[in-house]
Amino acid sequence: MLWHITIFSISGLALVILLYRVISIARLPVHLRWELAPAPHEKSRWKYGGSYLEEQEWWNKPRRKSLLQPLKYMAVEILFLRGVWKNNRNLWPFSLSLHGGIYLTGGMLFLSPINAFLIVAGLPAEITDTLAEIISYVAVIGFLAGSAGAISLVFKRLVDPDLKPFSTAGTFFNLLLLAMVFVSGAVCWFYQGEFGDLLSLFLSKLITLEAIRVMPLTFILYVAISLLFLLYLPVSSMAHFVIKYFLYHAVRWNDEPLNARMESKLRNLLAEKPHWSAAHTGTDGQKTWGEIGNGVRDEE
Amino acid sequence: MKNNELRFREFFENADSQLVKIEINHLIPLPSPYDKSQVSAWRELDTDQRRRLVCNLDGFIAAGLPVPQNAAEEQKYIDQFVKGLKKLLSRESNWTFLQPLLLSLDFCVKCQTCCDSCHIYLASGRNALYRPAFRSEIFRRLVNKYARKSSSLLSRFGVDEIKLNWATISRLYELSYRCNLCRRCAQACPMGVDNALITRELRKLFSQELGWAPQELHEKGTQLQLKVGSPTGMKPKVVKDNLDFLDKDFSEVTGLNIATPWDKSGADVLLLPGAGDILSFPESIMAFSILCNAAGINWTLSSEAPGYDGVNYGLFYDDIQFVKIALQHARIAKKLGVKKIVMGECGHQHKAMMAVADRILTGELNIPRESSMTFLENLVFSGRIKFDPDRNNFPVTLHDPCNIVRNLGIVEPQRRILRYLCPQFREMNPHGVDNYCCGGGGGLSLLAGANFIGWKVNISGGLKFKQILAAFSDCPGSGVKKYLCAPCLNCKLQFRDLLEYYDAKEKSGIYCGGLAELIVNAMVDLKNPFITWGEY
Amino acid sequence: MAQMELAGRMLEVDENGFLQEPEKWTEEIARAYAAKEGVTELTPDHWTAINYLRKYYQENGICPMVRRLVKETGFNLKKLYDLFPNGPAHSACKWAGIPKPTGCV
Repeated sequence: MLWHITIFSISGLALVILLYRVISIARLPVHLRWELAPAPHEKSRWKYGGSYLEEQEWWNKPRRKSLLQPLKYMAVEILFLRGVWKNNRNLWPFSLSLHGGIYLTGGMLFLSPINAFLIVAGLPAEITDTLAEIISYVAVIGFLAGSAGAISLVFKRLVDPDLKPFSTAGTFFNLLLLAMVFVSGAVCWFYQGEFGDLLSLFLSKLITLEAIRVMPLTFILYVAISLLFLLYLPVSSMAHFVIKYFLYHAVRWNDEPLNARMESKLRNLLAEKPHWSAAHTGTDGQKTWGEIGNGVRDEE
Repeated sequence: MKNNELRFREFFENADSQLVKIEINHLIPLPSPYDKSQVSAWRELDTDQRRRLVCNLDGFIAAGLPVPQNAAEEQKYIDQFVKGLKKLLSRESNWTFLQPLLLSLDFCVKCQTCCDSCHIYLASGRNALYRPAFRSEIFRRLVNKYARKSSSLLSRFGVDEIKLNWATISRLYELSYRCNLCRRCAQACPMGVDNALITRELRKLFSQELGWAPQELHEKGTQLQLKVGSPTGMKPKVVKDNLDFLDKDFSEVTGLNIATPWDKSGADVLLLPGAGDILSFPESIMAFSILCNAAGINWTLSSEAPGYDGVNYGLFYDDIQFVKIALQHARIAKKLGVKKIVMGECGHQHKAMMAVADRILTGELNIPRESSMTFLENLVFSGRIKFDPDRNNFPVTLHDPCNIVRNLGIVEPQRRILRYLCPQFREMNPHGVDNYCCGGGGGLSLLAGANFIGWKVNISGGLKFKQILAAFSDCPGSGVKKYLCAPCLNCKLQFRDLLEYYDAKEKSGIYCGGLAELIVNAMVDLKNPFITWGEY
Repeated sequence: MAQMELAGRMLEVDENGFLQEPEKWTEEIARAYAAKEGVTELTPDHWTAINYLRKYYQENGICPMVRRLVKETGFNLKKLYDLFPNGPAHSACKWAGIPKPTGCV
């Protein structure tokens, strides 16, 4: 049962921490607008980066936003690292390799529980074996790409004068941890063989809460390192895989004009009492933002 | 020390010595006849300035901090700085930008993608001091170490060096005024981190907690505007008198009957001009007057302080000042009962009223706000005025003010006007939302003490100047008069400094003005050209 | 606060050399400022401009716009630059002991 307890509790904990972080960001107060063009939800204006504010008497017209364009933009951004390609071409192949490895690992982690269920459900071996083979291929490409990406980025950051002085301990730690995950996976894959089978079977036993026989050492190492990574992921900047949503949708593309729902939140915020020490602010923790803003014009 | 070799550690050491020295031959080269070798170097700080003011950054002074009396005073500021850091992370004191700040603090992955998008970094010859991420990273480490209980795991181990001392905070203060807040870096960042936002938060901390801010922005800026009505110092009586003079003077010159309306209750439009235009670029306000009257628009100016000056320098450095001024502008519009407010040709005013202040203009203060770009486009294409584009048959290029274009997405209206009314209109490259800042953004165009102009025209304005020259490369030389259209007062000020410094009017025939004047210049009803190329 | 020696006295000036205490201005100070910019003698035309600037400042609290200066004195921009090397805003206002114009001007 040790496997089951370990894996479920650590995954559960990681998920809870991630959710906590996401929720605490989502619950931060409404902020003043700080949008940035181009915004892909602007239907035809997206071509040149225009916004609804160009429109004559825009307040009298219904707001038409494209749902598809932002999705297309984010898909390209996520899968092909559009921002890095456009603005930092030099870094792109390394980053793509790393992220490619992550996405393929994600693919592996998506297919393998499915295969595990199929095994438990008693589907014929032709199907589950085939799927296991696919999982193996996805896994190895992912492990190799991820290893290459993470390790090459460590070296690049040690060698490139544009990166070395500005890379922090956290940067290297993240990359080394990622490298360890991918490398341990690759080692297990090449040493053990039939990785897809191994993983699917392992997961099937997890699902049914059956006892798991002793796993190969390389596999144990891979799983252990992955679990450590999983615990660290939500508290690090690598959580950007979820939180980038806020950076884009809550800030950069947030050009929503004041509406009734926002207004009630804003009234509460304007009732907050700021504490700043400079004399000109006239804030002492007693006056609200609204009162400060409504202050009588300063006469001397 | 070579350009890119600055280390974080050096930033925290030797508070009394200058951190980097900018060599003129490190800067990006300009085309002839503006090669650096032909241009005189900037004014160096004199010994008296070096004695009185803190100058431990790059040999320039923008914000101007008096040297503290003793170590106790330095420590006082350091302690206040830490208090300020914590307040920036609090809901009650900084809900205004809390979410964007926290996100930008925690998700930088140090990829340095932002740096190559920064015109200041590039024009300086890639001096590491001006990397957007450099300044932000120092701030980030200070926040993580001194202001957060649950900071990043590794910062607790003190592995990334950071020292909180006088060197650090005094340099950070000046360095926060080496950014135009243009947000090209924010566009380039794949993560969505905004280094301009962080720069502004830094400025805010210094202003709202320590009371440190450049006097051009604060004492002679927002405070003066709150006191008398405008940072120009114009009181209502003076501004009305000035406009009266201009109405008469321009009526004489143009043969039109110009009468600028004041305080018309219930008008359709309240125009919020930059009052500096009235003093320094009066053809701009007169052009609006001429156009509105010719098109039969029911419009007005306000003579109630500060309703005749749409600027809000708080946008550059201080939320409290920002809120005070924005609410006053809106209240004046509400009192007049106008149907909409039109932003004059002023970039930061656009961003302040149409975007940033939008969420605090609640209830009756939520009066519709429109850009002058849209307003003018409607006017030009309404058919109510007759134009002859041949009157504008000279090379024209468009400068895109960051606060109107990149920050608000108002891109095409002004172009549709120029394509119609200016047969020789050509774009700069890059343009639109990809434009380069004029170099005066973020309030820097107002900072003119000590030797800062030298920095602005060489470094923050370097790439822009190259762009302007390239846009007119088909007709170099002073033989052909060229119009640089800059629909923003602060940009016009920066261009005035830039063109004067490089003698560009004499050498290349470049003249800078706004959009409204170009429109009036094409009016069929005018007997003489409205644009006088700076002669009067 | 910076200080500058003008007409034999140490006076408070801003970082651009403008007088911080306008009430201390004298004609000698105007001559001293002019000398620093290479103008050794102040002609009646100089005084016409300087006197107008001072009068306007005393009535209105700020420097007049250049267009007004041009109209009131009858000197066009070129003539003003001939009289005041750094122009009406930087030279003339300074020599007239008026504080440097503030704001977006």
